[in-house]
Amino acid sequence: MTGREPYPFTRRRFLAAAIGAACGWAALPMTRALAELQSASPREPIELPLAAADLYAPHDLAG
Amino acid sequence: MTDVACDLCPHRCVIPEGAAGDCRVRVNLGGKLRATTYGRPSAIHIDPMEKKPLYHFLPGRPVFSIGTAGCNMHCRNCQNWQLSQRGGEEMETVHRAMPDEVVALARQEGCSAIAYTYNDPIVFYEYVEDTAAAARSAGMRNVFVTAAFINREPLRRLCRVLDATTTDVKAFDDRFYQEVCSTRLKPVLDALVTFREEGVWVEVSHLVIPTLNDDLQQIRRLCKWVRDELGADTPFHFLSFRPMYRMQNLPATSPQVLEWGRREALDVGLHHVYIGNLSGHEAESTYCPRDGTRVIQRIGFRVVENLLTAGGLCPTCHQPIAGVWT
Repeated sequence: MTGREPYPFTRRRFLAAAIGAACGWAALPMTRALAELQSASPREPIELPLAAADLYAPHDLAG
Repeated sequence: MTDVACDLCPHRCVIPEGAAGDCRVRVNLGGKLRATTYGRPSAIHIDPMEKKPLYHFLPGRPVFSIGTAGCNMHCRNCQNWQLSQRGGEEMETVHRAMPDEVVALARQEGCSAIAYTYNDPIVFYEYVEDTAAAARSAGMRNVFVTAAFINREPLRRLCRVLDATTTDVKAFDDRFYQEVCSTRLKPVLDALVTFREEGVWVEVSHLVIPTLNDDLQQIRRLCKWVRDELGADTPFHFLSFRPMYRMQNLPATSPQVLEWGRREALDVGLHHVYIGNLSGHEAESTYCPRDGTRVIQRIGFRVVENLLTAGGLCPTCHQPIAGVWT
């Protein structure tokens, strides 16, 4: 066999890799939320069909 | 880059490409004026006709009521500011409702009229016009609840499909209009005359705000103007102010002030003067101007008793009571 031997994958290295992966996984939603907050486009209103209107709901609009 | 001019209301906004007018909802898209709230109401309810308020127009009937975002007035006391002082894109939800769909649902729910209300329907003019035309074709009536800050020509055109209006006169004082509403008084008075000339049933509302427009001499001048220009049979509604929006520093209107105002209006010669937002007050009911018979009794927005004969006559003296009763 020529060249270097593969580095031995010790238990300590395995643990470090697992913890690193878990932290990255946990941070992903936060990173996405931050990216959304930073984006400049405003939120669009939710569009509903007319059939979804609650016609008899009490309301305090004047007129 | 092409600017467009909007001639709908006296603001006469000149709108650069990509921008909106003063109302926030009429925009210049690619050099063309577009109404962004067309077919996109943000409020849809079935209300009693009395809530508009309309007391001499189909009393007790349910009215299918729609409103959108935006307004061409910016009243510091606006009760519906969540709708009126926002652009369409700022609403949390909007409905997709083309004119034919609105009319079909209103009929299905047993409504004989559609009201364009909540925000000022002037800013969704094209949607009103198309919906009202479809409603007319279906045998329904159209009600326009407005502050009437609109130019005469578009109003004349719209009147062809309107049956009734409640027009809110904010004050009989141009300075009030400028300082509180960012508009002017004269176009509003001109619009009221136009409604009358075009045969639209007119009722006038007037929100009495302590210290700002509650001067009895000013109220008297307004009532005289209504009597002379619109007629003594024009129903006049005094409404009680509640602290709202950017005017939370003033108290609600005292019932006594509303009663003083009503006395002035009756003294001037108006026949039908009401007090609103004070549920249970005797001035919610309609009385015969000749013999004083209570012909329609109301509590809040509810018609408790309607004694008018067919044809709208007083049951005791047979005096015709002005209105659209059937």
